[in-house]
Amino acid sequence: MPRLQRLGIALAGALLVVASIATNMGTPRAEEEKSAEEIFQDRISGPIVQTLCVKCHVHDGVSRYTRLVLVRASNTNHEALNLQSFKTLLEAVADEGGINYVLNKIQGVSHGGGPQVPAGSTNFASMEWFLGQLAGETVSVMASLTPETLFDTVRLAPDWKTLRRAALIFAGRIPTDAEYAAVEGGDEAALRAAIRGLMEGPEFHEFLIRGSNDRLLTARGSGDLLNNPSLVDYTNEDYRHALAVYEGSITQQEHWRWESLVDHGVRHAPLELIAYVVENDRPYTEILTADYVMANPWAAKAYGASTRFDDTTDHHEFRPSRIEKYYRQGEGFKVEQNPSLPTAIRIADPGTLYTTYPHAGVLNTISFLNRYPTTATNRNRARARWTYYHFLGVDVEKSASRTTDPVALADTNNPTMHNSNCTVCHTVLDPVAGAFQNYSEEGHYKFAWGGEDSLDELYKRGASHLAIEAESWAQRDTLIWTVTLAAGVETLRLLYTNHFWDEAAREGGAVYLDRLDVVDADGQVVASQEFENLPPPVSHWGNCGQAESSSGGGSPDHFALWGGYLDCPFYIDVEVPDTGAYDVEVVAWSNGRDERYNSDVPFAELAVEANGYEPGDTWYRDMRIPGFDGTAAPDSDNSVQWLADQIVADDRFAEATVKFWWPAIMGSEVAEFPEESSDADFEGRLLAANAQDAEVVRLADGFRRGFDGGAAYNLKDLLTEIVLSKWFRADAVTDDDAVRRTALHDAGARRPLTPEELGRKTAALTGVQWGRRNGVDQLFYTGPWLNAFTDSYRVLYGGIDSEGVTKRAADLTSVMAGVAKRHAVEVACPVVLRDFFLVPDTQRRLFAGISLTDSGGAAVKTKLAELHDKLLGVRVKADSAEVAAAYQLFVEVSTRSKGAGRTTFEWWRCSRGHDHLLLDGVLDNAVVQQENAGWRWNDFDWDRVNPFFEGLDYADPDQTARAWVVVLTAMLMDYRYLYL
Amino acid sequence: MKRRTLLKGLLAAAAMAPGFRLPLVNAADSSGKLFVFVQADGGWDPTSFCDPKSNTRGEPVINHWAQHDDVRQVGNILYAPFANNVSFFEKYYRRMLVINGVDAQTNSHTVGIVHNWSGRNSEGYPTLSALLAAHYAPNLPIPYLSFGGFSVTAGITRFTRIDRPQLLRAIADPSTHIWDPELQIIGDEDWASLEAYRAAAAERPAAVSDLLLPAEARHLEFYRSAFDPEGFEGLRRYSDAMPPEDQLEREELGPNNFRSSLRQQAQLTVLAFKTGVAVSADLWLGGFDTHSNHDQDHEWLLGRLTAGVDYLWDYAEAHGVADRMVVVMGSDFGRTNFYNGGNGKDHWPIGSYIVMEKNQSWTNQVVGETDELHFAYSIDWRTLRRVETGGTILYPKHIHKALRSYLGIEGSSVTQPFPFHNTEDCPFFS
Repeated sequence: MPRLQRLGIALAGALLVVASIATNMGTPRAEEEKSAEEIFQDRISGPIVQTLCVKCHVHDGVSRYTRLVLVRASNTNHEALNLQSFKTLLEAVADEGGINYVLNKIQGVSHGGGPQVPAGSTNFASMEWFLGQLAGETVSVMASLTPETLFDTVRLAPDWKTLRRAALIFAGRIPTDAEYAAVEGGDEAALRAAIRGLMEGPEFHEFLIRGSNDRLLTARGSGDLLNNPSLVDYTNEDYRHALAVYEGSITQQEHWRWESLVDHGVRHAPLELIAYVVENDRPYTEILTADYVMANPWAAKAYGASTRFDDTTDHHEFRPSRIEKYYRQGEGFKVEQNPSLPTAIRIADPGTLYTTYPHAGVLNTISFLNRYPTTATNRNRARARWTYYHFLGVDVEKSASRTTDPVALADTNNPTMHNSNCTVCHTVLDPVAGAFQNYSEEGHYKFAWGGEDSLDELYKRGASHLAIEAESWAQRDTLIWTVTLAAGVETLRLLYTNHFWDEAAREGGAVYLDRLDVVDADGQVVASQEFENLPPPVSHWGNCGQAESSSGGGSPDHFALWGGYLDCPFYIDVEVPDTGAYDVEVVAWSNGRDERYNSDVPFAELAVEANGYEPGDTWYRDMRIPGFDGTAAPDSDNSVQWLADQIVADDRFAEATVKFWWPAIMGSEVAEFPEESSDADFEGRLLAANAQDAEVVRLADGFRRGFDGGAAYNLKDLLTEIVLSKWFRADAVTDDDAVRRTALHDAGARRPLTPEELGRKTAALTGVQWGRRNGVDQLFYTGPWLNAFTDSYRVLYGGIDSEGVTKRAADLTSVMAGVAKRHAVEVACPVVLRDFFLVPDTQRRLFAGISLTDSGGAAVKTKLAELHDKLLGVRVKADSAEVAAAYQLFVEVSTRSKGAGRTTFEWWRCSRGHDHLLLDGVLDNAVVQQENAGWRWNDFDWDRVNPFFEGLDYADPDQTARAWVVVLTAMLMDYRYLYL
Repeated sequence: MKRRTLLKGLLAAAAMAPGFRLPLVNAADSSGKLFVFVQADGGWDPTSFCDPKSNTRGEPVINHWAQHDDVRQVGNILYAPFANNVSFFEKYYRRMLVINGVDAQTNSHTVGIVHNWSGRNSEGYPTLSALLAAHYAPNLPIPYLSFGGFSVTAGITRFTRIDRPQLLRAIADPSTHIWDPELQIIGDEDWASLEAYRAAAAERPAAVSDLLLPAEARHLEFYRSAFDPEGFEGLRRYSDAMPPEDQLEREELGPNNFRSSLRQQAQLTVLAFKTGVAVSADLWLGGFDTHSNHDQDHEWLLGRLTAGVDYLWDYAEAHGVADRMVVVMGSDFGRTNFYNGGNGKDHWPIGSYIVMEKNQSWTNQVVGETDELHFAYSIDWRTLRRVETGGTILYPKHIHKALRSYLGIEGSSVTQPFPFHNTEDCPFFS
């Protein structure tokens, strides 16, 4: 059997085949007989090679070290050369799948450039045809599944069901009768409008905050975000609080509480920005281009902003603000330290470096930057990596070949610039890292003293300072540094750290420099420089030294350098033959040991660097220059703002937005292309990846242009369209094709509700919010929605803490089932208590229209049918088997309880304290504020509440209340209640 | 065909695909071995731990501790006199196999983590913990505990997270008052009726649909399993075994906001083993990505790591499960053979594993070898000895394949969809 045919069979059902594509294209017989050369000229060279491949697969592209290197159309012989490249490639990959190796690559399988030619497209068919002809083999014909036919046997959910699920996601409730009625006609436009209409109010806000945080993970509870004296108002307010604690006018807890409220306002800024943009129907691009930061009243004050708030005591109110009082630390910046307050400082004078903070949406919020702190060696690469991931949909770490040569990984010769194993990613990543050049380790703008940059001091000072113990030419030291130099001319920087200065005596340190040699690995001197022949370094106060003669007369034979540190570096150009490690040897001595500085090192010190740093630099000279996608950032002061503009103008931003929000609705990530073609489920996963990629492209296109004539970049419209996609609406499948089933692995909306969604659903349906304790100090979640699911049981029920646990649990476990059971038990009893004994019929949430004496079949069954609809989303009739089963439980419990002689409802069994608003509208002043260790929350005033409960009439002769508690508990544990 | 039959057929078909495995195959063997994988997240430094390196003349300093101390040896195992290593290796060398020179083939955390804990550097394979749980304990309520880190299951089992053990009582006995366990909100007989109704209701979605989508079928099965009353008996045993809150191990705080709850993770794991509700666990300690202040931070972290594993063994001994326990320690990769300008160490692809078990012939051994600058040597996979030509570098797949064989799951139905092709059978455990 020909190789291709075998491969074709192996891939049966997953890949398109020539025959089907040919049919799709209506290819005439004459067309099919074309040679590989003709097909290449007609269908491959222009639309595929010159449009897609040459972006990377050319001699100066990021894929220049792969097995496919092409030439651009500017080469007059490009078609012949590129055709030969494909022939060579096919030969090289003959044992790795041959044609299918190439076809998988262009679909995105283990392809650094991701999917380029989707299966099912005309270009894909052309490639398949061309490669088949090139290999000289006949392509077999077989039936197949494609992204277009994947859903052929899938039944979609009815409109009302789709609407209900959308309502639970976006509005935390089930639809109203009016909303249901609006979609009864089966009109998709009506469904679209109804879904779009759900996107308002605090519940939608909470959805946006949660969905954003699931990706950005900034709502975490650790780290000091504002440890930055440049934020003058915050620093001085913190000082005032510390002083007040010291003087006894406020407690330490009050100080901590103030800090927490500021922290809340700063930490949630990126999430609140996204919510603000979406809720106000602003173009979604503004999440990166906003020239403001969202702040609550405390954060706004810390920023020195004069933002207006509706309620200055509400820490959940966020408004667009600006960081108004930001002073870079430098000239005139004066700090006072009170010995009694070791942890606080006061800015006595902020100096002259007032700064207009260059806001760039999410990208330079302190919270986002702090989530990915940088280091002297990381150099903003984590920030760049996640910027690419969140806002361009590119996982840079996956863009390289997975297996990397260990020698390459151990390369110390600036490998990110020179080693092809590394440059494949770093060519893309490092310019964006550079665009974050102004932000320090913790995310502070131009944080270095002087306010010029945020470069780490180690880079600026030089990594290795060596002490000079010699005190004369006779004793002279030879100091050696190992540096990495690129072939050609490189600039070395020599820095002298002065070891003393005595103002009174007008005496200072000096170092005497004789010669510098560059020595290769074989011990050969490849470059040499006498210091007396160099022009003296010049500082703002004049020359830093002069050439001198050892003998006191005659020609100079060394250089005396008396100025120290960054002001007076020597720059020395050296030329080396090869790229590699060299020893730089400097012969030097100083004017001697001196301990007047009382430092650990009483000697003069020298350092030699090859990184080329110069004062005024804002980025590392041994890295790629700041920029994006081949374009340099024009202005170093605001390169993140520029980066934001570039990103939102990039087509990938829209696709990244689809991928960003897809999990918040679907519960799973957009399918990734499988990497191992030998995996048993490869075909199905490839089909899923192709189909979802096509859907992402479709949705992104609509998002970019505006759906149905709507505004461009409107996220509400995009969310609506995701819900309307087949991936969400799939409800059942009518065949059991194995490849289809694998491809549909995550299709359909059914998934466990998140702890947040389940808590909101229960509150909306029953009126009881499990574990509600919202008070002024509930910071880490949006207050109105605090409940046991988002507090005590959050991680136990599969949620995240944004710190160590960052992925939601996708599958129900026994522990989660236990949480669900406790939730059901602790909610059902108070619901029955409230509806039947505390409020009039008109205020009941679940049991309106039925009384405790309605123990007969009809009324109970009607109510049970209604509860099935409300709670479970199951539309059944009162005489259905579903209702009959529930009714049997109802009767069983009431009969048993009645048989035990009970005549009242045992209200005291209910956990009444789980929602402090249970008596809202029933008993005045039922709630008091509790306090412990400075933290406050709301709870019942039990001295008032208990007598109230004890005074009510709980007559229940038929024990129906008890039966309803049990039935309701069971329904709250039902599969259909716990899942979307 | 009846719909129920259809569903079974469907689920059986789904179980043949690697995306989903029903926990219905293989009898539970909860009296067998117990498995703990300790993930040192961020990339630990083997040269300051189990693959110790002295400094080499003419080369940058690889370890500051080596400027004033020498590599130590206990039994056949060399180790670095750093952090709390002395007490750890002295105490445990007899139950320890050190595997050095394992090449993660990457400097990327994401890839390194996937590679070291699933055995291959592309996604799609589950952790060994998941495979073991799926094979040995498909019917246990929480067979696989995860306290963070890499815990991909590939659908063959589920992992359980526990962050507030004091709430286990409330979860295991949901029908009683949380502050007064004697007071039942719903009595036993009513609860039994309720459970019977709920379980029957869980069968209905299958009865009313044509064919369930894979996700729906999967979720239904997980729901039924999660609510299984027998599972709750296990949870009750587990919560009964929980010590009072003041005797639960506390989180430890270190420099640079480092935190370790490793001791509590070990405590919860041992109690889960003892009460027969779990057979595997992933313990996790983060922070090893010491790009600056390497010595200070790594000293604290390695100290917590070894103290945590020490506590695990001691606690397991006290609770009678130490003889059944297999412990595997590892990390994303290693760290550079020199310090950077910030006294940190950056990423290095070569790492190590430590496999621990009591009373085994293969312990008190070191296999795999690296040179003085921590480059991996090739070995003859049959003899595990270094060879100058030919041979193979050790990769995580070798360790995973050998562990699968040793622990009795290689070739089983749970591992068949996740094979290691072209991988030598290294006799680490012979």
